[in-house]
Amino acid sequence: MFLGRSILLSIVDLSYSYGAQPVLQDITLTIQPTTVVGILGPNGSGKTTLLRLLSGMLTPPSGRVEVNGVNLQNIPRSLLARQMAVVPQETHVAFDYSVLEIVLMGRYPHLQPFETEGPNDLAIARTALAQTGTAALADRSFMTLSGGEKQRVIIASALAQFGHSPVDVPVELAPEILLLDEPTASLDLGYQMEIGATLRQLNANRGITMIVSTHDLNFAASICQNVVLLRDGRILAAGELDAVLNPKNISRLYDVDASVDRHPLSGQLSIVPFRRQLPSSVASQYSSSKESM
Amino acid sequence: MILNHNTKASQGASTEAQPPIRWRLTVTWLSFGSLMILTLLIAPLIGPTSITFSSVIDRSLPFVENVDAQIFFIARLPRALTGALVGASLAAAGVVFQALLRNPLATPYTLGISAGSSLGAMLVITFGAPVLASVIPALPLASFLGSLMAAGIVYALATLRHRDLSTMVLLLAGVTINSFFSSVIMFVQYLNDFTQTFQTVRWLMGNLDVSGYQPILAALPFTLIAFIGFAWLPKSLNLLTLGVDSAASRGVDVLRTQRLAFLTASLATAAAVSLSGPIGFIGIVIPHLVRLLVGADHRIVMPASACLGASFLVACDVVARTVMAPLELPVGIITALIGGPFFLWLLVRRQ
Repeated sequence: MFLGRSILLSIVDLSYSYGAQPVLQDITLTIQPTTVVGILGPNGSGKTTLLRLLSGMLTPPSGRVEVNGVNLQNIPRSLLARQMAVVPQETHVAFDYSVLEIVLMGRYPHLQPFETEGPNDLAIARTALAQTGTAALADRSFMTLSGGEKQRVIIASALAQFGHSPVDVPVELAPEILLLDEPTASLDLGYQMEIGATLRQLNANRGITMIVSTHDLNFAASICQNVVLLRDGRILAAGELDAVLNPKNISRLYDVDASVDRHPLSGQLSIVPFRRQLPSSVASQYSSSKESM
Repeated sequence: MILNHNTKASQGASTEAQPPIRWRLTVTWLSFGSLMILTLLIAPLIGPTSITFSSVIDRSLPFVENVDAQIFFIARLPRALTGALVGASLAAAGVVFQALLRNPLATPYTLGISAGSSLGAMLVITFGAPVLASVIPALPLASFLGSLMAAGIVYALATLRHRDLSTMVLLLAGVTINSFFSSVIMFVQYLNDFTQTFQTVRWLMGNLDVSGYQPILAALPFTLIAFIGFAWLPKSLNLLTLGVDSAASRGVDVLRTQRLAFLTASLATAAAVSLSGPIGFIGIVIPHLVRLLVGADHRIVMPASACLGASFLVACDVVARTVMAPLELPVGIITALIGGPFFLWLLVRRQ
């Protein structure tokens, strides 16, 4: 397919450091439209920093991020917000907005300073609610929702940011990029599955490109086509899910032994971690304390 | 067919529960706006000498002979207008500070402005009053400058080591400045004689005892600048209350919005306090009351709070002037005395 060769996002020689502490080093990566890319790695590997650089929240001291060939730094914020949206791990709202109000806030980048939302914006918001299975919640107070409901409403609000009307526009003309930072980390198993299903549908039906950071390998295996493995700010491996997510790479990534099999019912890769490879000093401590018990 | 009908009916119901923003804005301006104008027209009619509106606007008498009109326009309207200006400023500034700090408990005084203004006022009462009072309105000026100094210090501290405005540092700096200035105030007060102490305490209670239009006209330019800022803010404030990153990813220039919010809210508060002293309660309770009535959207909360704050303070001042007449109570006592129980009742009723 012709889309297969086009590049939506490219990350070139990207480095970042907090003070003297390097967080990301020489990251080079290309992301094709309509793919779901998982970013995996242990705590402190630079996943969140990479997402913040991709969203323009941080300015890279060296290297660059390009969207459709244009340097991110040269794209005005309100314009970028119409093609790229961010879903954080959790959203705490200090005031009592309704769900519809939260979703309509996604339309703000499209409005002039004193302009208010019109019928078209309302239609887009309603579509976004429907596509995330939250249409019935529209008039509820956001504060009273469960964690999983909140997260789907925030995804709806992110969808409302995208430019096109409910009428389908080819994805090449209106790229839609969703950056999700550990979207399921504070949700229970049922809600994790729901968010996964919602994201899969959005990718399949709307062709939304997604970059998802997560600690949950099985969640990644259930939604991602490609994965990037980050450790100590460097790319350990990157490529198609099936090729990259194997026991050897998981061992290099987390120092954990795991089995990777295709699950007979879901048809997805299933990762079962079964042993931590402890450094020898920690291992001896651990075994001695166990003996004393 | 029946199914179709049902879907349409339920859609109609949901639009009724959440009317479009334009409609809600119109209703807000009409209802809260007319409440404010009504309050402003009725308040000056009430007082020790009863006057009627029809005699105030009686054109058959020239103004110099129309005693009712003179009482209305010269004696009482300036005071009502001052109340409206102060009430609107404090309520709107409260809305902005609560959104900026993402904390519903913030008030216009949380970041040290009242302490700064009190210190300014107090220094004039203690050291400069007899000399300066004859030349310039020293008390309001010192209070205004004190406010700006406190806001300036807090702002400088919050931006010193951070590129963006950290709300955490803002809060900590504000609370610290508040207690530091309070200590200085107590020190100066300790040195005061009884008359000065009496004056200071009276000032701290907050009252609207102004005469003539001069004080309002002096404060008005600053208040106007602040309110022009307030008009720009609401949509960005909505996004800011979702979190800094969420706001930025929806196209908000976060730092510029935070700066504008802090500076305009500080300016409005400083101008208000210089007119009336630190009247409490309005800046926190009016925004909450308004949110209970109209929801959380700042585009509606902002104008509604300003109008309701104005109406509330003017009404409280009527009570303050009349309840123990001919004694005039400081309105700062009345605001919390009336508003507090009412707000608690409303809160309990909602649960």
